Amino acid sequence: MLVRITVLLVTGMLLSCNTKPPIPVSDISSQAPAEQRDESTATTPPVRATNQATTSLLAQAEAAQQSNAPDRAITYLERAVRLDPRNPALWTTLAKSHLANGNLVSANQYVRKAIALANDDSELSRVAWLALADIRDAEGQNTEATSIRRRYSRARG
Amino acid sequence: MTKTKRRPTRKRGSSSHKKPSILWRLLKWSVGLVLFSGLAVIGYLIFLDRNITSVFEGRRWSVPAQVYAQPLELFPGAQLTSGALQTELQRLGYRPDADLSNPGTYKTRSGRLQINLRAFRFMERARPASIIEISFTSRHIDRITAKSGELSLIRLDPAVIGSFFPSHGEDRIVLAPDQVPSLLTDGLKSVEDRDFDKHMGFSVSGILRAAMVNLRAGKRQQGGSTLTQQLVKSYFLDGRRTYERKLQEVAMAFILEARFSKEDLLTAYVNEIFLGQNGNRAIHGFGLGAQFYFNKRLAELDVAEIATLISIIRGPSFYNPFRHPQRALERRNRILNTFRRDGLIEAATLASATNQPLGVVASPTRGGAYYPAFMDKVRAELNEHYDIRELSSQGMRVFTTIRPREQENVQRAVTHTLNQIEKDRRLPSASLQAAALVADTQTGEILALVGGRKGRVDGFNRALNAERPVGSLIKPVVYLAAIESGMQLAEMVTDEPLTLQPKYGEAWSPKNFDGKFRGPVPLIRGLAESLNLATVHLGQQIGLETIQDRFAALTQRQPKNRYPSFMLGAESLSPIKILELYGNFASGGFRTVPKAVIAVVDEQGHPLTHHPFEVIQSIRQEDVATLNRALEVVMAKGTGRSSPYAHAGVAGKTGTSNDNRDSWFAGYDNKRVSVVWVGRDDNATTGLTGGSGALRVWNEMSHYHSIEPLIHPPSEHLTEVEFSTGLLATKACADVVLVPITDRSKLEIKPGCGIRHSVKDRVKGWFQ
Repeated sequence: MLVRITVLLVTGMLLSCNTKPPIPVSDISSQAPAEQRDESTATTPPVRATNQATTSLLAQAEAAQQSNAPDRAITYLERAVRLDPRNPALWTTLAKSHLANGNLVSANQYVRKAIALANDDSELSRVAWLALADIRDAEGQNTEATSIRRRYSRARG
Repeated sequence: MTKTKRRPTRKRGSSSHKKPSILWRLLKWSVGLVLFSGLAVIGYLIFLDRNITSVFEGRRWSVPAQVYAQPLELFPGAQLTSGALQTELQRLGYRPDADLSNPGTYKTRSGRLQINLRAFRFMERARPASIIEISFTSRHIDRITAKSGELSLIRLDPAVIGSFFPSHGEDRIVLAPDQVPSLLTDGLKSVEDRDFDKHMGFSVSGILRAAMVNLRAGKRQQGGSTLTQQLVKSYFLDGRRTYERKLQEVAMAFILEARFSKEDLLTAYVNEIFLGQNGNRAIHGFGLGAQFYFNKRLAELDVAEIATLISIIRGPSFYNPFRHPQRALERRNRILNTFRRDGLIEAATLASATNQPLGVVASPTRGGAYYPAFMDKVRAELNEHYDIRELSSQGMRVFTTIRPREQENVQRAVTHTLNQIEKDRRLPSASLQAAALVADTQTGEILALVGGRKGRVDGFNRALNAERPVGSLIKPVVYLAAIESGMQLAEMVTDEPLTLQPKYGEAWSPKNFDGKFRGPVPLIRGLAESLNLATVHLGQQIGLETIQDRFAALTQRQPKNRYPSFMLGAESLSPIKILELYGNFASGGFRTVPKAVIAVVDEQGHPLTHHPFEVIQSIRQEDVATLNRALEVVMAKGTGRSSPYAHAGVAGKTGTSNDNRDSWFAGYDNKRVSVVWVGRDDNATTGLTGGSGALRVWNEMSHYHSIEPLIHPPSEHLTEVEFSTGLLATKACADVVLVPITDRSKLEIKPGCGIRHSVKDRVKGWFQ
């Protein structure tokens, strides 16, 4: 159930992401012109053309997780990350899979990655922090876990 | 005398006495002899049987581990044109076919591309062969449909990029009986052994026929060996040609025939037989033969290609289709005629097949993708987990990160740019060498790795093993340490001469590249213009130890040079170490270890090892964002400004070692981090700076893919300051750059720009 909720949440986030296409450059021309860009424009995240694709991989990962094949779930999730490597939601889900698999080192690394990539997006960041709380619990750092939960569960309201 | 006398007597006597029994005695002797020989033969056969049957029964060919590239992912929205996808398909050995009759074929129909995808066992699951249809917009995939409906994601089968064959050199792909096309087995019988289905391992008529042919020709033209004998020869015996060995061969063939089915023997033959040599790699079996000569799977070969492979058996070097195409073609056509004679093919097929060119790949190394430099990295990573004997024998499958399209583009950029530079600067042809690496900024997975200007030569791997002084590539570490100590990019540092006198050793007086000095400059300019004096002054202020500690933490490598010249890059590093260093910046503050292996599975597909991404937080987010912005300014206004991509949203740094021996560039956008080195193997000067050498290679690399601009911190954190002075200014009144400034109150205002500190800033200033 928990996994399913995560997947739904992640899917929602994927679909709601802000989009801006990357600058296309010819595949063969060696005479491509200089790509000019206004220095003062803050860039929005790149296009998530991979939304549908990563969503289907998340569903397969969930199925694998439920049929007690965490290794396979991780393979699906890594494939999703490869398609959209700056997507914090995918890194959070990957962290959770590693947590479920007892690999706390990777779980820790990935959830921190998710937090960094979520940047100022409070919802993505909150989901990642709550995953970190679970990891801290698994590491026996219950006080820290509780304090993280207190802080980020409150943000929901 | 006595003897001579006695002997006739005895002889006479005996002959007279046993005369009627001479025949009997002869018979007895003969029977004895026959019995004895029979027993000896039987004994020998039993002996052989014991020896070879168990070996053959438990036969497990050493199956070298197969190494796969990353498969190309297809999904709606993917930036891929129909033409580019067709190029990819051809690289994988897919061929156009209006009927899509077999997996491994494709066709175009009114702008759409239909592909009969091959079955493939991926690391997590097997995908059966299937037909898909893809429609495109001008630059992207629009829709993918299959029988089952619309697809959101599907991948091509990955390219095989190599295998770990053992030291004796035998490389092979082992096939099961149902993977062997019937035309191949029938063709083999037709050409090599017409009595195969009837004989017991050797064929008297075959030997006689061969003898007749040889007699008529006056030399040895036919061997008269059955397929079983050929198998025995290849499997059990050495290459000597003696009568004793021939007998042994016949006896062994006899035993194998008695013990095993015809199908078993034929499959063994198909997997065993030697089909060619490529350097120290021996091509065994038709599975690998099909890949080596045609870049296809055996099941996908057409009639003419099967005939070509069969033609090679008789003399892999004499009928080598690469070296002797005409000879190979003639023999292929003779074999096609034999096929027709024996009713294996129709007359029309014969006509079209004989008109077909040989159709082998362009060169021996083109049998599939071949990237020896990347394979070195794969080998190095696998060596941590596996013995080379396991890798060369147990049929493992290794999934790796390389993207062939990216690899080919980077290699092309390296080769082409070096040729161009040599031409432009009238340097001796082929005097320059290079290395280049590209990795994903977030996962660290290596997408391309080039170890020299000739990609298909398995030689010195400069990307992994050439440790060269890195010059200014090291400077971002100095500026990072400054940022981490709380300095801002608009703060001033002195660009003036200085002499450092260490406790031991000579005094050191660094100089700027132009011998000039600029007085006080803001940090951002010191880095962008790569000012040596400003950097050393700054480094002295921060402390060499702090800087070296940061370097060690970011690269997991202790500096060798413990002197201040370290700050200017008097430290030798390999390109892959530089990739690791810059991965910290490109990823947004994570030590992102470059890796090549994703997973290894055993012959049955069970996972053996999985190599997860390694992303260890190493720099505070605010600090790395500031450094990234500074390295973006390097491109826009500093030593990277000659690049056509200077304003495209990329960050980077050039590096040049003393006397222009090494030309470096490291750069990244949102997606890829790359490192390029250009220099000479004899370490002589090239006259190239980082900007005129390595950066040019990177420019060409970037033409082949789209730049994904770096993400900036939100604009409210960015401030306009004058590039040359670090004063607060605006675009209207000065040459400004946008940099993250945490505390504007510290900055002075450029007069005449009409800027005033906000009340908040002024209040803040009072408390400084």
